[in-house]
Amino acid sequence: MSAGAGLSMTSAVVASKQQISCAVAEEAVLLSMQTGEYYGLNPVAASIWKLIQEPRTLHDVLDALLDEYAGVTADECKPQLFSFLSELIALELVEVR
Amino acid sequence: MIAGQRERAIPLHPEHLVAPSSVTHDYSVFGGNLRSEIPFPELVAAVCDRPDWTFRIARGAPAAVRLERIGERQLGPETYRLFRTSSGLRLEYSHAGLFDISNDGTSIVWYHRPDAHPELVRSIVLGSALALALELKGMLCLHGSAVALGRGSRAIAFLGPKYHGKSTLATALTAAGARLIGDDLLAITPGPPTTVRPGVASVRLWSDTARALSVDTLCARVIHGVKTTATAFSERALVRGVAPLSAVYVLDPVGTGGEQAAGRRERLGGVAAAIALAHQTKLPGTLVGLHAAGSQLAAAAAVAATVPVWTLRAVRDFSVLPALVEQILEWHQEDTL
Repeated sequence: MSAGAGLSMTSAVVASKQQISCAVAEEAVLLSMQTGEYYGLNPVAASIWKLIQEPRTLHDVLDALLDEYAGVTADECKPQLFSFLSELIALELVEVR
Repeated sequence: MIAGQRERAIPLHPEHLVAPSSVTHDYSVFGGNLRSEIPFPELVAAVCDRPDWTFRIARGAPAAVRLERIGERQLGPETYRLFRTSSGLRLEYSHAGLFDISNDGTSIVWYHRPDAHPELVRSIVLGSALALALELKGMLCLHGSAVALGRGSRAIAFLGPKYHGKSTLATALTAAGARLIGDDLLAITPGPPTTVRPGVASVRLWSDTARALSVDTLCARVIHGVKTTATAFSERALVRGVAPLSAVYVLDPVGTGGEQAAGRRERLGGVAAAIALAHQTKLPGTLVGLHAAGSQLAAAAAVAATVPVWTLRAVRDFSVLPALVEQILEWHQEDTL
C-alpha cells in the first residue's frame, strides 16, 4: 500500500517539522531535512502548503481551495489534492494526525 | 580605508606562519577589514581601527571542548568537518588542522599544523572560514565569479561547480573591459537592492586557460596541469566597492556539436532560480547542516526574487570564447553604460 493511501476527507494533515520552506512570490520551495532535497511548489500547491501549516482535515483544505479558485469543482480538485498530499506524505514532508 | 597599494607577494614557508603575534596585517576584503597574524599577499592592504574579522594562530593544542558534529564535506582526498562548540564553530580540515570561528563570526583562530601549506591555510580562511562568518551575518555565499560592467558597476555573476568555466569567463570579460569583483567566493547581500561585495582580486585558472587568455603574465608561476593564480590585475580592472547585482548565470557547459551560438541563455522561474542558487552555495548543506541550509534557501529565494537568474549553455571551446564574451556584453548593453 502506498504512503498516504489511507487518507480520507476526515484525515488531518500538517506540514512536517522535518522541512524548511520559503515563499517565492506565489510559489514555494521546500527543503527536506531528511534528504537535503529541494522541492518546488506551484501556486496551487503553495496554497495547500500554506493551509496545512496548522493541522487541517482534507475536507477543510478542499473547502478553502474551492473558495480560492472559482470555477473549479470538488470533483476536479479532490483527486489532485489526494495525489499531492500522498506524495508529500511519502516524502515525509507532511504528517497525518 | 584602502591604502591603494598591494603588498608584494612574500614567499612563505610553513614555519614563517608562526610569526610573533605582535605583527599583524590589515586587509580589505568582502567589504570589511581582516586583521591577520599572517600576510595575505592576494589581498589589498588597508588601514583600519576596528577590524571586522581577526585571524590569529593559536600557540598550542586546542582546549578539550564538547563538540557537536554538524556536518562533513569530502573533496577528493580532503575532508572538512564542522562542529558546534560552546563558543562558536570549529572547522576541521584534514590537510590543515582546526579553525575556530567565534559565535559572532568576528574571530578566526587556527591551531597551527606544521605540515600545512601556507597557501592552503590562506585559501581556507578566505574560503570556508570567512564564508561561515559572512553567513552568520545573513549573507549568501555562493561558489562563483563576478565582474562589473559600466559606470554603475552593475555586477553579473557566474555560478557552477568546478570545471564549469566560471573563472575563465570572468577573466575573459575582464580582458574585454569588465572589472573583476571576485573569484571562487561571492558574498551576496539579499535585497532589494541585492548587492555583491568585492572579494579576492585574483583568479584561479588552469595553465592552458591562462595561456589561452593571455593572462599568464599575471601569474607568478604557470605549471602545466596545475591551477595557477592570476593576481596582478591593474587597479582599473578591479572593483573595490559593493556592486548592485544585475544578473546571475548558472553555467551549463556544452560541447561544440550542434550548437549554433557560442552561448544560449534561458531565464529560470522564481522557484527554479531559488533552487539553482541554493545548489551553488560555497558551504553545502552536508557541511553546515540542514538548518543553516534552510537559511541559505531563504537568502537564495530573496536573491531570486530581485535578480534575474539564467542558465547559460556555453560552448566549451577557447576558439568561441570571444564570441561568448561579445554575446554576454550584448545581453548587458544597458549595464555597460
